[in-house]
Amino acid sequence: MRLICYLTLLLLPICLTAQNSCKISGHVRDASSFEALIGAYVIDTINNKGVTTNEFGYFSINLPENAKSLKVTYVGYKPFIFEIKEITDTVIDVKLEIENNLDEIIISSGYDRVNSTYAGVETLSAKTLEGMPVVLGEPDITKTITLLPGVTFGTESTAGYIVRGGSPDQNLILIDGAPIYNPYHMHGFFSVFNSDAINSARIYKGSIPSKYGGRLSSVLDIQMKEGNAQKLSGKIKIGLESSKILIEGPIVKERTSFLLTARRSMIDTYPGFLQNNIALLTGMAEASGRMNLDNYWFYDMNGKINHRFSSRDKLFINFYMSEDNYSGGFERDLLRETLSWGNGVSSVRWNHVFGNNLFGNLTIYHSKYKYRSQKGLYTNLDYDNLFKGLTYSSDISDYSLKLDFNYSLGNHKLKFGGQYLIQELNPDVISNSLNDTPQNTIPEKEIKYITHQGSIYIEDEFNISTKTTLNAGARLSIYNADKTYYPSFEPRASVNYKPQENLAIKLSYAHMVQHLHLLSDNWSGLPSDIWVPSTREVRPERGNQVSLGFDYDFIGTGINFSADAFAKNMTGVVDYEEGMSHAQNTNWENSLVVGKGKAYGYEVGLRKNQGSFSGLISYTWAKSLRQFDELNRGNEFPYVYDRNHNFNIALMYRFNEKYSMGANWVFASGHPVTIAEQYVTNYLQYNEDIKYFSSLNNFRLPNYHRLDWSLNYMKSHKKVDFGWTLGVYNMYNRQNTYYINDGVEGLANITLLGILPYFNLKMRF
Amino acid sequence: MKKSIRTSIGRVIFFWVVLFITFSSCSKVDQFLEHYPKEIEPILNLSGFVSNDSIFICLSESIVRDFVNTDNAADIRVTDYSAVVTLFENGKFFCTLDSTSVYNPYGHYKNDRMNYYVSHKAINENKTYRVEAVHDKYGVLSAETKINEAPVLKLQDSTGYECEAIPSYYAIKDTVVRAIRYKINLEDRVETQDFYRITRQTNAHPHLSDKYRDYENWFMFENIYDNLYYGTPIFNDFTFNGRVHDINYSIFEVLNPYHYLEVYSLSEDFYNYYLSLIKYAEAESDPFSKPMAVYSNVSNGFGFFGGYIRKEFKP
Repeated sequence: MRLICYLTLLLLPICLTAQNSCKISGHVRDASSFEALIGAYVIDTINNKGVTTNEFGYFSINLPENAKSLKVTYVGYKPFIFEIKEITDTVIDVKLEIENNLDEIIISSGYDRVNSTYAGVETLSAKTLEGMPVVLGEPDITKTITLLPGVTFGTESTAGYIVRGGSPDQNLILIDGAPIYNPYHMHGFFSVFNSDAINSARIYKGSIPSKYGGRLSSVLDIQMKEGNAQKLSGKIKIGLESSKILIEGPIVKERTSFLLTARRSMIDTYPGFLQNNIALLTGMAEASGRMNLDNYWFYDMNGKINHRFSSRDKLFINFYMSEDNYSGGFERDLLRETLSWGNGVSSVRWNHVFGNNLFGNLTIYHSKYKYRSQKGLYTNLDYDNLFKGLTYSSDISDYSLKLDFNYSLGNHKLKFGGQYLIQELNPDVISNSLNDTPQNTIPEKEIKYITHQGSIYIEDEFNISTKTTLNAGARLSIYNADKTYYPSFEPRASVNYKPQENLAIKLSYAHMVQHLHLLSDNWSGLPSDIWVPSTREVRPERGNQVSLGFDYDFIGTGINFSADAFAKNMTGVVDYEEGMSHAQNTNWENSLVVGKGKAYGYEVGLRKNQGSFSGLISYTWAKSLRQFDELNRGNEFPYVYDRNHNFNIALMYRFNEKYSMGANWVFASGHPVTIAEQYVTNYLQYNEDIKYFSSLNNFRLPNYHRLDWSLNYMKSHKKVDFGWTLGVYNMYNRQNTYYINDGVEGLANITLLGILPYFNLKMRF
Repeated sequence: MKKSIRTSIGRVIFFWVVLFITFSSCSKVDQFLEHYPKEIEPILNLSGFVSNDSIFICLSESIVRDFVNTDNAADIRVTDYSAVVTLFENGKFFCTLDSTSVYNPYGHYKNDRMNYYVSHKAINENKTYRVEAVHDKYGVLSAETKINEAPVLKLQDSTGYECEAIPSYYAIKDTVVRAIRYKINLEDRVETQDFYRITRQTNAHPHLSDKYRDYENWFMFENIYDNLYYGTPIFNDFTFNGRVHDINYSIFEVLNPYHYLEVYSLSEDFYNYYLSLIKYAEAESDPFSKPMAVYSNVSNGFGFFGGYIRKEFKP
């Protein structure tokens, strides 16, 4: 009943205010490549009301009778003015031309931030990624977002990103609408997303639109490029750690285009001693030198074909795959280990514009993640043929159908749709080929789960007054697994109050539900973390977040300032029971504990998006706590990634069309770890001392900070552009702690990445 | 190159040089950890049990780790750990424990870090015992535990058979020897949740020594127990509450006259302590494991206070 009342209240204003004079809709694209421009602003110049384009570059705006013209703007492009000669419904296709040859670095344009009703949303363009100095010179979306306010990293270069005190598994990562479960290559040093193929990325930290569900903390929605529909073009990069290629072009000019990217690691092509040094450097081999790397390589591929049937219909076919392979072991014996993990996504999307103002998108996707580890005896390192040992694997597969609609009616911008998702999980599979040997002490096991989830959502954005815009919505879902049903109702709301044109005060609330849990060893960055479903015993995670903040745009300067305070609580969060890990052969349901969490803090950000000098300064103060009845004697303790202070400076300077320079300085409080402070006697075994710690996560590691720098060069020729990137990661060689080894000789500070110069060659045609 | 560009380059280089020098100066990791032992207060550890054999309590100091001078780890310690130790039964005074300077029941010598308190007064089944240790510096440490009834054991069956010998045992020359399989009934009570520990005691040379020991190779349990503390099964009655639990084991016939079982009916606290020690040992050998805190039921300190009723069973 409450739900019906809520929906009635939501929809009632639509009926009362549907008094529009005309609707103008269409797509906004790059004039040279026909690439969709996501987040372009379309504004009624007389009434100063506007909309932004969606993830397909589509917009629909209702105009009153006195409207004269529409202005379409996008940072880095010349504005486009569309004169309204006749007040009638019109479909237009806007093609914006690049304003100059300088690549603008765009981190959440102030225009977008002030006008968006969503609180705590940040947008990154592909050019932003290119400009940032990063580890080994490989642009990386998951590393770049850790510079944003409210986002921090786990451990040095690994273990995911943390949003507003959440955990890494509470971040939904979407690539063209389909989820990616392990977005990391090489122990977490690189993300699996090839930056060349990314059109834009948007991260929602506070108010999360109703169309997204399934995670508590954030949504990172990555849109890949569609491919140049005008001419064949490409990029090649040769780097020390990986090389990559991108080719895009028209199949039928302006109607059908394709995009293909591939990236592969280079480490396995190096001489053996160099491979081992890199392996040690990146943690792929144990620092003690006991472990040896025999081979390591990764690759990822993106492919996309899209066809424009008409201005109303467009079809996209995407595929994506990535894989990592590692093999190594102890130097002197034949006990070896192989690890492999990878993602695969395939999807088909169809856009259709119904009439003038109903935009529909149908998505069918399949997403898969698989991790496999084999340990056993080998002869002459012939891994393929003579393997005999234990195999451990964990995988998750999604099959889903989604329908999303955007509808504009009068003052209202409606979004609604639904999704049906089938998930197949084999979280914890052990097979043993030592059946005929005395080593066979570990029993085989395999438990398969098939879960079903149906959800519908609706969201409406409308002006309550000339200065206040309300975005209210809800998501209704039902989840079934293990003969148990979990219905959920997730209300979301945000208010944008604009006392003046360049200032917005935002208040938001979001209730989120997460049916998947990640059992993680937290700091290790290993792919051995396992995704497990909600079952009869393990209930879904639920979270509430309230956020209050403001955005101020310094008009004409490209400078934007934002500040947000947030508080969130979480129930149903999981962790390993004391003494447990993935390495122990126990059913996962018996090795986890379920508890609560809370996080609160504030964040500020200063961005500059225009001109040759651009950048971002961000600061976050946050506290994140967890409480489990079975851990820490039931007392609350700091979450393992509770970094109280995070301060980042990312600056980019463009000298001219050829040269640009970037630098980051990153500072974060040390995260907590559990270190035994005392020894007590085990009375039953006199010779043993037991480690005693007063509380979980009782110590803090030293503060983390580093400075990165890069110099980019790109020279244009008639047909081909050549360039290079020279950079240094951790310029002043700060010995940041990766982990603490609590051994017999005391505590050892294990560091991972010291000063690390890099050089890449690039070619663009 | 145009003048404006040169100026810009100059400014930017200057800016980054200054930044580099500034942050270089703070790059050294001076303080390894933000906490030091001087901030950590030592704790008093109370461990012990009540049983049908004796009552035994051990007080010991904790060793605060010195993270700076790792060679000197044991320097900071409690020097005065004498206390008045009193036992209560169902809330009423039961006895006061006497300080002793001899062995503990496990044969370990007392050292300067420990003080033992003993009493030989027999305890009673189905009672709750509380221990209080009053210490001048640390105040009152206390803990409580409930004692169950003695285990009830019956021999159901014993059969002889031939099996492969353990080659490492010098007294057995043959490759095939005769063994005896015993089936013992452990009769569980339905009214209480019970917790058990079984040890096996054998003596191959009773004419030379009266000491019985736990020899795993001679004495083979056929039951599979999830939790073993140094080879002795620790288990509860959750799967057979109120029913008979069969204990099946085999022993070489040549040793048959010289073995017996010790079955302990543990208090829940003792059971939890054993389990946490087993998990602690597993966690210590697993670098990825969540830190494991050993079970403690002592308030205002650390340690465990448990109890048991022990029964010897010679089939």
